[in-house]
Amino acid sequence: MIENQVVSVSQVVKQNEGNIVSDMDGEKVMLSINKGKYYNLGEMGGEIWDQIKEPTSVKELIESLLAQYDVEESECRDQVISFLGMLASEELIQLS
Amino acid sequence: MKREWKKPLLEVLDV
Repeated sequence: MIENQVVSVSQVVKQNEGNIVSDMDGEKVMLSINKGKYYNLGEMGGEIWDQIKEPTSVKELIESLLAQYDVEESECRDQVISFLGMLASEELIQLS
Repeated sequence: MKREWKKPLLEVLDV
């Protein structure tokens, strides 16, 4: 079970280095060299991962997803923050 | 036309 680090919309997020990422049948699979673990980010997680290649505020990320996907703002915000919290707990992203 | 939203999940693969 992955723990969840607290993330706020005012933070800036960026991919951590040291991960090998591959697309498999529409889903993103990642090997963390640092952790020695494999992860499946799924389709939506892969989309979010692509959008945080460069430093991006959590607020901008949510706004970008809202423009592309049919989802309520509160649902999108809560689920994206939860997902980023899991990535942060696994040290896959940097938050500032 | 907006795309269908799916909850983003992080799954640890047992490899």
